[in-house]
Amino acid sequence: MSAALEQQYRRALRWYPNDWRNRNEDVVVGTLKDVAEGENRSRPAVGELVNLRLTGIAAHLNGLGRTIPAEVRDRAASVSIGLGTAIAGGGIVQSLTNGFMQGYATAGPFLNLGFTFFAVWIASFITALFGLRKVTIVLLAITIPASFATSLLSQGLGMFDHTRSMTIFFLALLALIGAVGLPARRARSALDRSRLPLVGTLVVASALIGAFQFAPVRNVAEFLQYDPRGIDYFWAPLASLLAYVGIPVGVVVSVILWRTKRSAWAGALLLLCAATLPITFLEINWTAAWFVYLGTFALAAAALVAVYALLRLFDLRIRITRV
Amino acid sequence: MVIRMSNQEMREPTFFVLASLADGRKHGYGIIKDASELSEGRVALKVGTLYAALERLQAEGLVIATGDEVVGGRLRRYFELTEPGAASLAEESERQELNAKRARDRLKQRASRVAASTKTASA
Repeated sequence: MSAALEQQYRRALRWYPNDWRNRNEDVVVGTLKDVAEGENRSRPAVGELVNLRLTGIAAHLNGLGRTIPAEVRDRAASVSIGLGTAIAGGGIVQSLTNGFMQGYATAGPFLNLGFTFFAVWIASFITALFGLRKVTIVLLAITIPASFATSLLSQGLGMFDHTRSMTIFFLALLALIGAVGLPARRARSALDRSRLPLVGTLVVASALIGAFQFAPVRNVAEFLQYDPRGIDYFWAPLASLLAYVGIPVGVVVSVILWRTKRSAWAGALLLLCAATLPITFLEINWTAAWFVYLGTFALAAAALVAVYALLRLFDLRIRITRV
Repeated sequence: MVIRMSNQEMREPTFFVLASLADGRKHGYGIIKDASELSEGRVALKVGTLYAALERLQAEGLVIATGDEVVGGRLRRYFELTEPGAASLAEESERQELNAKRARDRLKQRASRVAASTKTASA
């Protein structure tokens, strides 16, 4: 067996997390060399290298999963897939209702090829609803390269496609969170009670996005797209809304949930707040001076600490009761 | 330690990994060869898949690593089936036997129905 063969195997194993490699690398290389010898090969098989890279990525995802409790990941996955599907549904409707862009090629009734990428998101929601975790992970993984591919292809075919990189980034983030949890377990009925967070998020988020999309304000319908005149009507106001209201409220609600022994939901909400945080920071240059945002976060954090300190000082409890 | 839930179905590679370890401890390449023989060549385990499955099975408490040995300059790790692993394999085997029995019963019913309809048609 040549040293080159071992080098190639060790290079492929770099796709695994470091702690996994420390535990298993030498043993796995030994087995790979045994298999190569048994098959009378002096070079790695292509399928073998592909398999090592894929299982290496899976080991990274498993490692990520182990650092966050399963219950938190499952709830965050439900909300992420529901939210991502609502955005995808909005994207499809928007692509169908854009009559104002003249002089561009179209993809049948659609403005561009983005509907195929959004359709994969909707398919992942359906498979998640039926508890088909592996298929859901594959579909969510497909959405990430598909978003770039459909965008580039649409532009190449002369279609109007300036889908914001923020939309692609945010959906990719939601896809990752969706992939590390189990949104719903297999059950006899898709209408099982455990589906409530998944379906509920889709319904609420669709209603909010729909209201925003069809609000009687000119150009608000340019939802999810970058306006050619340089004003973003979706992410810019959303970033402000998240920074000033969404994230501070989310943190307060998660503290309340944690205090009321709903720690899994508290963790999931904090995870989603952390995931949406980059939107506010990445949108800073478009909307307002950075110090305004940092000041807002500092004030929000100070207010939270003050509220918590007051509650502790006077031994007060916030209690949520079912009416 | 996490034990596999009894109502979860077991995938074929996992089944053959456990079946391979049922007659004693083996190292990675030994499991790959054995799984191929047991499945009459249908299951060709890739090394990456095997070690991912072994990590998961160890985490579930169905398999344990029993030591490393250097053989011919190569490091080999030996694995052994645990009692919960043997129970899980037995349960899956029974499930598969039951499924096969039900399918055979239905095929018998079908054969007698086909025979009866052929008899009626010829009469």
